[in-house]
Amino acid sequence: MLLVDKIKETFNNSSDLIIKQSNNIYIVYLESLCSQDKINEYILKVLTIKNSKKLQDNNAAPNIKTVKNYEETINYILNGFTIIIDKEVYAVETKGDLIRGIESPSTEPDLTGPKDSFNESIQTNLGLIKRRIKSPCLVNKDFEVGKYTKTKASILYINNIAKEETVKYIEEKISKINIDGITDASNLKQLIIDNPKTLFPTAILTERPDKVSQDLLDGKIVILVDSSPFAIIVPAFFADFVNPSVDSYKKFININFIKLIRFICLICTLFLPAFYVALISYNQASIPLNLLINFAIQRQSVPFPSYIEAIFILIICAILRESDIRFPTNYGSSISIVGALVMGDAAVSAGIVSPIMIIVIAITYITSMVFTDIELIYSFRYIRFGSIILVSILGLYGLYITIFLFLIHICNLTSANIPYTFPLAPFDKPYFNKVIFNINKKEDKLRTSALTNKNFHKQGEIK
Amino acid sequence: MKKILLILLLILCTGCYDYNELNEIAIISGVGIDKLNNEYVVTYEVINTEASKESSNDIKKYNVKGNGGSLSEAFNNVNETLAKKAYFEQIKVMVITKNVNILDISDYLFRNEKINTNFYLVLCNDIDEIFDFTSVNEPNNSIAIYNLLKQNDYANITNLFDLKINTLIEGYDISLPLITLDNELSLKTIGIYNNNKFIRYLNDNEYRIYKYLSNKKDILINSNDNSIKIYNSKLNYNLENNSITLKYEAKAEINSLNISYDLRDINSYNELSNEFTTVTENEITNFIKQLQIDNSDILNILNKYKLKYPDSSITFKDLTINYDINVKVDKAGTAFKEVK
Amino acid sequence: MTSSRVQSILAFTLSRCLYFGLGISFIINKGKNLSILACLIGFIIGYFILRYITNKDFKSFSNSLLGKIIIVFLCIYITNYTLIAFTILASNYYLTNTPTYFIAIPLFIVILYGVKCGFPTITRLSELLIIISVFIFIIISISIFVNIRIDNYLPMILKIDINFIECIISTIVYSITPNILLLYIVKDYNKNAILKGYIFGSLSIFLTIIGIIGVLGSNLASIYRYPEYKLLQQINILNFLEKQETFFALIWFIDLLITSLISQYIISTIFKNKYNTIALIIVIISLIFFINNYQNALFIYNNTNYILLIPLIIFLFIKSKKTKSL
Repeated sequence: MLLVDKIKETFNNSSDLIIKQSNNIYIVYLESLCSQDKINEYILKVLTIKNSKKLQDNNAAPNIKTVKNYEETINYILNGFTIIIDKEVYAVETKGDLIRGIESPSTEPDLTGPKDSFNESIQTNLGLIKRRIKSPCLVNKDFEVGKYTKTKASILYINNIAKEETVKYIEEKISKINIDGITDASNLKQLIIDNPKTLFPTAILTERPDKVSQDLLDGKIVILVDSSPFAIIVPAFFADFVNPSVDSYKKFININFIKLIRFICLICTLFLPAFYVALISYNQASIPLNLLINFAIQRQSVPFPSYIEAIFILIICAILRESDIRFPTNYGSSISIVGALVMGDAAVSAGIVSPIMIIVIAITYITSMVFTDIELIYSFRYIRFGSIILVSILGLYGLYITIFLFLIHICNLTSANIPYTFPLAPFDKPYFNKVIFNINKKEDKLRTSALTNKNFHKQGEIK
Repeated sequence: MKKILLILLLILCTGCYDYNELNEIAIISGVGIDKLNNEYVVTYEVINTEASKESSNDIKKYNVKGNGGSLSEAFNNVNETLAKKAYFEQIKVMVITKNVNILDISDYLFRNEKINTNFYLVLCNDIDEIFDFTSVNEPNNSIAIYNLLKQNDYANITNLFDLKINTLIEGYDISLPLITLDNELSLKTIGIYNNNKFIRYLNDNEYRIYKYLSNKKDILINSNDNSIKIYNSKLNYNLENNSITLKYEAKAEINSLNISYDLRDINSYNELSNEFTTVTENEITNFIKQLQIDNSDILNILNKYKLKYPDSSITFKDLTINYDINVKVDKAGTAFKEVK
Repeated sequence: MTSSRVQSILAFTLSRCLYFGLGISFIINKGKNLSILACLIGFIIGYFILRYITNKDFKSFSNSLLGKIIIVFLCIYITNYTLIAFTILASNYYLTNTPTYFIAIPLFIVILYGVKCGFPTITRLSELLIIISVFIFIIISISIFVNIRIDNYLPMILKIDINFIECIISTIVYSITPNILLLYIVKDYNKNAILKGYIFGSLSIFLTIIGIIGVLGSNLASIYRYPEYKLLQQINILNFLEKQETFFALIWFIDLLITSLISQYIISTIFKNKYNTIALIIVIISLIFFINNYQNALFIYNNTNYILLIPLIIFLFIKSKKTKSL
């Protein structure tokens, strides 16, 4: 048979390519992708019944397709289908369960809200979303990304909420991709964002299906990638990273206080070390006298300038954090204890750093843990170091310069052609009320006009 | 852009001109200025940051002294004797003697961008005595004086150095508190000035009158062994051409009684009120007459007059002052009858 | 398309920008106690002038050679002024020993970066910074209010002399002339939005002058080079945080930064490719002839009101009517 030989040739006699023959019917599949049980159940059992004329009719398999050309054949084989070559060629889905079950979210935990998270199967993930939004308006369009990996990516949006321009924009970006392969959603994310050179993430990666559903209802666009437990949400704004969407599960009055705390944390984690260095080495006038005396007494034994001190501990903390992530969790717990307690204490008594500096850096790191997006935390590191360097040269004036540069930078960013600083600049009340300052859920009736141009009402009469 | 950044880094890394590490600066908490034989003597009180906080034996501060023909010379001379860089931004008080002309020193202090002019000016008789003293409560004398001023309601924005100077520039008179050493640092009286010319110190009685005229609370007034405590007071001015009426209204509480009064009866309050009104009126009249003789308008009476008649050339000495004083005793405390 | 909110914000900053280190000090020195009244009159007259100007349409004029020359001159003048104010403030109170080059160059890099990012970025930046600005302004107003002494305002006897009229003219010039830049850069400007920004801007300046005279007194205020900075020194938040003026001065930095960004952006739109060279020349001239030359900086201090009066008069007397688009 010509077709079978051709397939053999295409796969270079790969050892997991199984070809079986019975009664002039060939079945071809990849052992590594398929479930042996399903093949037995759906195909081999049927083949043994001799008088079956139409294979398609007697088959219990849920997904049987007639294959038209050779490229499709290869494609089906690679996607875990079994090819049956009779007079016609059929593809039967016999995909093996290569995925883990649905677990609770590990990177974005929260007290309230659903406890399920995405896994590596795009079908499961789609199912998790469609279970939440039971509407025919939820559209998904499939794309294939990667010459070798042929990863399935799927764009999801709600047809009569999302802006068509944004959808087209994202579709164009994806279809322009010409790459060997992507292995995770974060790969795809880097390929489709507007400003690839920036430090800041301009698309959200999330593993919470409820978050995805919420954002879909707001008019955002979600991209699911097969074999990745993360979904990409575009557009994403700076405020989205600071305030997670699980806030909407809590009472608005209580959550607004937490939002204020998060904002303070943001400022602390970005500029506190630089601010401290500026005060301690340039603008001592602004420290109350009694506090200044304490600072001076404690710094007496430290031979290094305060900025060297700050950079030194910041680097040590960065190393600790990296080793904590990389090290297997079974051993890992001891690292943070050694790092935080022993090294800090030892550094103080050795006279390398002053105790106040330890406090300052500790606050900096603790406040950074409020934010869950790892890329955001990494980008903070640059600003932290940059501001310390400028402050060590220009004092408080240098801090202002850093703040201005930082603000100009984030003002320049866009996410899917919408400004990154969105609900604040340009100011938008509905989205501001959703992300930065929650209002009563009953009064939260409008949808932002930046994300939709058809369907503005979330609640009440649809006009 | 990258080239510019590179150049910037190259230029900027060559030096940090204003970088002052905290342990390389001498934090000065107070400055003393004296004028002896046409020479300024400047004393700094420097906080010793080498001292550990726990041990009480360590010296917590030290003084540095220098002199020069002009104030800037004197300051420069002291700065040279300091091992560290002098840091003036945290000055709490400046202690001067009565020999020092305040307007003369203010130009240097205003012009110098390194000196923060937000401090309080106080008088003393001997600067060395004040600065060499070591108190048990607060080792740093400048902070001790500052706390003392806070206790006496003196530490508010209107008494800051620059606003005192403002009063002088506008041609009015000022008063400064006198710090004396009496086992501990204490504030017993104030020195009065005619513009920036020192006149004299008030005596204890005058200082008491001054305090209640400037709306301080809990000041005692004595008469025939009775005494009252003012808890609320108000000083107003009625202006007419060439004369001014001083209207002082106060509410007071009985502090102690030696003569029998029945305080269940409302008339006794009226009696007491009348008695104390006359006493207070006498006190105030004498006090202000004395001030007029000294030509020192520390209550800013002329200031009030000039606001309405800015063109009149009348001086404080010639101003006719009428008095309308009313002290109302309306609280008896927690006892209705005298104890004796 | 610039939203009317952004136009208000830009008008707010532009009508404040010339006051720092120049306007307030100049007006208080000339007008003493009467400067409050002079400012009020100036702002009211200014309001009607701005209303008159915004009724016109400058599209054809700003494309003509004369219009371009005036705009470029204004931009260069205002950039130069903001650089001077920024640098002298920083070198007086932040970095007393650092050479002015090292203060001006980082600032200039910020401006260059902002201009490269384009006008939308500048508008977004101003929207973000105005939040900080308003926040600081409220803190200042609350904490300074307690310290105001009524005596300092008196005596206020109206004497209409040359100084008083000069005060009024200066107030008008300082707050109206920079707004011409806004009329140039925002093609379809919203008259009401600009007027709203102007009212809030001039109100904030008016409150600042009231605060300065109320706390410091006009005599003391005229001694200082930066009375508005000295006012900030008197702030005592909750009776324990003193001497926080280094943070509060951010409000002036913000005004100056946005103004210089706008004026530089206009220059970049006019000169296009040659902008980098032009910008470099402007900075070098500003550094050598103004920032490091005290006499020339003083010249700007004394004569800005008359120099900027000329473009204002030209813009007042151009005959053109705005076609009603809305």
